[in-house]
Amino acid sequence: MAGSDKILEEITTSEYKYGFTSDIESDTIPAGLSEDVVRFISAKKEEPEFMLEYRLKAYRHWLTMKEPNWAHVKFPAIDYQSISYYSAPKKQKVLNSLDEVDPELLRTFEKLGISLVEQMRLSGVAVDAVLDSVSVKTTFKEKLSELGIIFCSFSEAVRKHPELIKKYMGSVVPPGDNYFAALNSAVFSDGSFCYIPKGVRCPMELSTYFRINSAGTGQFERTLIVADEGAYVSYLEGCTAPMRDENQLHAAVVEIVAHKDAEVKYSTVQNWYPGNKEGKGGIYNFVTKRGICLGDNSKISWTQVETGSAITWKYPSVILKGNYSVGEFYSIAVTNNMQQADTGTKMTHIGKNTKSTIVSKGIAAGKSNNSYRGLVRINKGASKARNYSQCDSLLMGDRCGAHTFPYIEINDKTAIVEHEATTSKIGEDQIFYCNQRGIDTEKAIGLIVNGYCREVLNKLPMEFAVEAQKLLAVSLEGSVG
Amino acid sequence: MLEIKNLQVSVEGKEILKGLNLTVNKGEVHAIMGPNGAGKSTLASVIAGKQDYEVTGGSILFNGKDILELSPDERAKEGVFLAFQYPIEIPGVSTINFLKTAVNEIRQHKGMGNMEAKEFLAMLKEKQKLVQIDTNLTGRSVNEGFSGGEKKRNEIFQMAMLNPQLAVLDETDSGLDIDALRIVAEGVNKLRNKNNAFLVITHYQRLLEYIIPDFVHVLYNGQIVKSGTKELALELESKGYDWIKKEFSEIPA
Amino acid sequence: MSAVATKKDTSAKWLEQFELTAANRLGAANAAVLEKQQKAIAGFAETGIPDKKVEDYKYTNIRLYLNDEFALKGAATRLRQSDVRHLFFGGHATIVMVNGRFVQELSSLKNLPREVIVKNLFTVLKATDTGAGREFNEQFDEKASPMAMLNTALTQDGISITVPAGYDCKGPLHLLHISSGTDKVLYNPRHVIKVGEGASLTLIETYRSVELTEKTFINSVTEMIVEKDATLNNYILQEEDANVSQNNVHQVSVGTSGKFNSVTVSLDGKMVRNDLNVNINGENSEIHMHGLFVVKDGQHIDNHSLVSHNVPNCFSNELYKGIIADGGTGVFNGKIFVKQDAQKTNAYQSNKNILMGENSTMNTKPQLEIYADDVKCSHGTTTGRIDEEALFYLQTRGLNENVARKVLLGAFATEISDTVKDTAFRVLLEERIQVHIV
Repeated sequence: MAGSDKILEEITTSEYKYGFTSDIESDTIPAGLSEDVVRFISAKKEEPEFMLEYRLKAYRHWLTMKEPNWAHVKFPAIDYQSISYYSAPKKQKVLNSLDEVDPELLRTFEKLGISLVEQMRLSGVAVDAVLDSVSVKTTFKEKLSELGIIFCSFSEAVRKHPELIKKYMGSVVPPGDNYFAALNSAVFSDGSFCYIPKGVRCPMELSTYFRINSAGTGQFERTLIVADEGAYVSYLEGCTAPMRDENQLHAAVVEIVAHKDAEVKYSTVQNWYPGNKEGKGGIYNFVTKRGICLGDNSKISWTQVETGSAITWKYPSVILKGNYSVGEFYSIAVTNNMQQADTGTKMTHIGKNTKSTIVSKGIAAGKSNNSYRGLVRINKGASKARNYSQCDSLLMGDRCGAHTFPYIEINDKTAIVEHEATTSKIGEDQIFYCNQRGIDTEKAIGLIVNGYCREVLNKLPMEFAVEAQKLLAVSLEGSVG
Repeated sequence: MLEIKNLQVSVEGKEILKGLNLTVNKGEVHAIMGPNGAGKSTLASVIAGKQDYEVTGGSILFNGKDILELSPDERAKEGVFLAFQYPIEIPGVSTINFLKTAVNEIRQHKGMGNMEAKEFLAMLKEKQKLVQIDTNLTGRSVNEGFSGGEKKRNEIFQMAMLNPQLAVLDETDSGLDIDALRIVAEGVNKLRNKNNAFLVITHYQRLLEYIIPDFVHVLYNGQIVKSGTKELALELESKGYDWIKKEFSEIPA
Repeated sequence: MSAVATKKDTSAKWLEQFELTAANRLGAANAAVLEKQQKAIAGFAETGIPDKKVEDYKYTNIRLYLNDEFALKGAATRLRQSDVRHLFFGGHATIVMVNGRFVQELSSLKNLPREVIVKNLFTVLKATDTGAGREFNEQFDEKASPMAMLNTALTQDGISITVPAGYDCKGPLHLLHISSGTDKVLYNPRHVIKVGEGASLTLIETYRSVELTEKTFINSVTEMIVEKDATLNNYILQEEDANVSQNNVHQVSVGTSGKFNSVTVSLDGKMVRNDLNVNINGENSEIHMHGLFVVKDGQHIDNHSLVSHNVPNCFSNELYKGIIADGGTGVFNGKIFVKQDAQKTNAYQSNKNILMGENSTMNTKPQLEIYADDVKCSHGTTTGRIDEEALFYLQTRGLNENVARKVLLGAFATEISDTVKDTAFRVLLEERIQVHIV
C-alpha cells in the first residue's frame, strides 16, 4: 500500500516540464485599459474604421458587465488595469525565409519540439506561428491560395478581407456575449483567420501555435474559421507556455461557421504553464469557443486535451441550427497540484434531426479540482434531436476533487437525451496487473490513463494524438526514477 | 530456483499461510492442490507481491535473492509470472501496446535495448500460433469484453511473450471448457523446458491430465500437508478433500 | 419560459410580517427558538424570495407563485371528520394537519401506539427542560435555502413525532396534510420527526386540498432525525389542487448504520418544489430515494435533492422518474456530495423522463461533487418520448392507442411504486397514478 501511495504522491506532485522563457524584444504599452488603449491598439494595427467601432462598442459594453462567478474555481480578483494590452515583437523587415526569423524565437520553438523547419519539411502542416500577438511567419500560404483557401493572421484578414470579417466576426460570439469575450472583442491582439471556399476540402491540417511570452501581458487571440458549402477543414491548435511567476490572463475567442454540408474539426492540445506545486503563477485560461452549424448537414467537432493552465474556464460549444447538423465535443482535462478546471460544452439544438455527442474524461490529481459543466438544450421545434453524453472522472489521490454539473433542458417531446457520468479512483488492481507484467507503477499509470482517454485520443489527428499521449503521461509523471 | 521457507501470511489480521515450505527447481512442474480456502491463491499472490498480504514470517528466495523486498514489477522483471485467476480488464489499452511495454521494460532490466518493431511482431505471431489465440484478441484492449476462456488463454499468451523463469498458474483451469483447457495445457507444455519451472495451482485433478506434474502438493489450512507425485492427484480425485480434512483436522485453525 | 418576466421580490412584506406576528410565532414558546427565528429572518432579508438568478432556483422561479397577495393568516376553517375521512386508508393511525396545524378532532389515533409521542411542536418547545429548543433548526447550516429560512422565521407550529429508542413501530403513521380555506394564505408549517436509536417508523405523508377556494402557498419544512441503527421509511403523495403551490423541504440527518428510504410521488398541484436534503452523518448507513412526478398542463414540479456523504462507508441510491404531459414543466436537480473523508462511498443517481406533449419541458441537472478518491459514484439521465415500438406492439395485440399508452406509462411508474413496502399505500398509489396518467 505504502509503496504505491508514495509513487502516486510523487507522480501527482510533478512539476511542469516545459518551463523556460525566451528573451525577445517586445514593443509593449504601459499597463491599463481605457478607450485610448483600445484606439491605440486599433491604430497600431492600422485597422479600418469598422474594426475600431467594433472594439469600442465591445469595450463600452464590457464596462457594464460583471466577471462571472458561477464556475467551480477560485482565484484572487484580477486587476484589469494592471495588464498590458498590447505587446508585439518589434517589427523587422519583411522575412523572406526562416533564416531571417529571430534565432531566439526559433530556438524557443525547437525546445517545444515544434520547430518550424521540422513542421514544414516533415509534416506538410502549414504553421501560422503566433508569438505573443503578432503573426511572425505564415507558411504554405501559396499552396493554399491555389485552392482559394484563405489562411492568414487576423490582422491581415481585417485589412485584406474586410467584407468577410464584417460578415462573420461576432456572428457566433457577439461582442457582449460574456465578460471575457467582451474584453477580447475590445482589445484582441491577433490570431488566425481561415476561409475554405465552396466545395473545397483543405488538403492539410491547419495549425497554429500560440504562446504567451512577455511578462504581464494578457493574450487576447481571435480566431475565425468559415467553411463555406461543402467545405472541409481540420484545424489544430497547440499550446505550451514558458514559466512565469505572475498570473497571466488569456482570454481568447474562437468562432466557427459551418455552412451547408460543411465540416470543421477543431483540435486543441493546451499545455499553458499551470503554476508551481503551491499554486503560484500559472495562466488563467478564460476562453470562449463556439461554432454554429448554419446549414443543413453541417458538422462541427471539438476535440480538446487540456493539461495546462492554473485555471481553465472553457466551454467549446455548438449551435445546431441546420437540419441534420452534428455537434461533437471530445475532451480530456487533466488537473494536477493546485490546478482548477471548469470545462465542458454547450450543445444548442435548433434544427430538426440534429445530433450531438459529448465525451468528457476528467482526471484529477494532487490538490486540484476538475469540473465538467455542460448544457444540452433542445429547443421547441428541434424535432428528433438526439444527444448522448458520457462524462467520466478519475481521481488520483485523496486531496483532489472531481465534479460533474450537466444542465439538460428539453423542450421537444421527440428528443432523446441521454447522459451518463461516473467517478472512480484509478484501479489498484489494474496497476498491480501491469506491475506483474514488469511495468512499473509510473508507467502503468500513464498506460492506464491513456487507455481511459482512448476514445478521445482517437479523435485527434495522428501526429497530434502522439503528442497528446506523451503530454498526458508527462502531466502525471513525477521525479520517479 | 524458488525456495519458500516457513512462510506465514496474514490478510486483515487473519493468518492464512501458517509456515509453508516449498522448493521448486529448474525444469520442474509442481502442482499445488487443496480445498477452497486452503490458501492456494494467497500463495500465488504473495509470490507476485500483491498488496494487502502481510508477510509475518519466513522467506521467499528466487534464484537465491529475497524477493519479498522487491516491488511487484521488479519481481516480474526478475522472471516471476503470475497467470491471474481473474485477469484484469484495462480499457483502452491494446494488448499489443501492453505487451510491447512489458517486453521492453523487462529487456531494459536485463540491460538489453528495446525490441525492434519487426522483431516484436514476428514474436507476437509466433506465440499467437503457439497458444492458438485468435489474432484479433491481441488487437483489442487488454481482457476487455473477453470471455472467461479468452482471458485465460490471453494469460498463457502473455506468459509465452514474456518467457518467465517461473510461472505461477492460479486456477487457470477454472471456468474453462474441455477444449480451452487442452489448448491452455498444450501451450504450457510447449513452453516447458529445462530452464524454467511452473507452479500450477488447481482445485481439480483434471488439468493435471494434460500438464503432467513432477510433484504434487496438498495445501490445507495454510500448510503443505502432503507431497507426492502425480499419483497423489489421482488419489485426491478419488477420495476427495474430506480425506485430507479428516486426517489433518487436528491442526489448530 | 424565458418570455415570463421576472416578478419582483416581495420579501419586504414578509420582513414586516415577521415583526407583526411575534406573539404567534414558534419563538413565543421558547427563547432559543426565537433567537434562531431572528437569525433566519436576517438571512432571508439578504436573499429575498428566490428567482431564476439563484442557481438552485434556476428552473423554478418562486416569485411567480409567491407574491404579496398572500397573508399569513386566513379565516378559520370548519372541517368535520366526514369531510376528510375519505382520505384515510388502510386503517392506519392518521394525524390530520389543516393548514399546517395538528387537528386532533379530525384525526384517527386509535391505532397509534402509545409509545409514539405525537404533539404540537409549539407544546414540545414550551417544555424548556427537553432541549428541544436547542435542537430546533440545528440541521441547517448557514447555507439553508431562502425558503427554509423564511419558514424558520415565520413558522408558528407544526407536528412533532417521536419514536423512542428501541421501539419498532410496526404500523405506518399517516400524516394527512390538508389545505383548506377561503383566503390567500402563505403557511409555514414546521415538523420534527425523530426516530430514536434502534427504533423504526414508516411515515406516510399525503397532501390534499379540501374546501379550498383561494390560492395557497405552503412553505413547509420537516426536520427528520434518524438515529443510530434506526430506520425511517418516508412516503409522500402530493395531490393538491390547482390553487396550491408548495415549497417542501425535508431535511434529514442519518446516524450510524441508519436506514432512510423515501418515496416521493407528486401528481398534482399548481407548483410543487421538493427539497430533499439528506446528511449522512454515521458510517454504514444506507439511503434509498425514489420519486415519481406526473406534470400536466400549466403545472410545474421540481424535485431537488442533495445527498451529502459526510462519513465513509455509506451507500446511497436515487431514482426519480418523470412523466411530462403537454404544457407541463418538470425539473430534476440531484446532487451527490462526497466529503474528503467519506472514502468507500457508493452513490448512484438516476433520472428518467418521458415527454408526452408538444409543449412539455424537462430541465434536469444531475450533479456529482466529489472530494474523496476511493469511491464509486455515477449518475445517469435519459429523457425521451414513449417507446413507439412497444406502443405499436401493444396495439397489434388489440389495445387501442390510449390504453396502450396508459399501460406503458403505468409500467414506467411501477418501478417507483413497487419500492413502497406498505401494501395499503402501494395500492392507493397505483390507483392515484392511474388517475393522473391519462
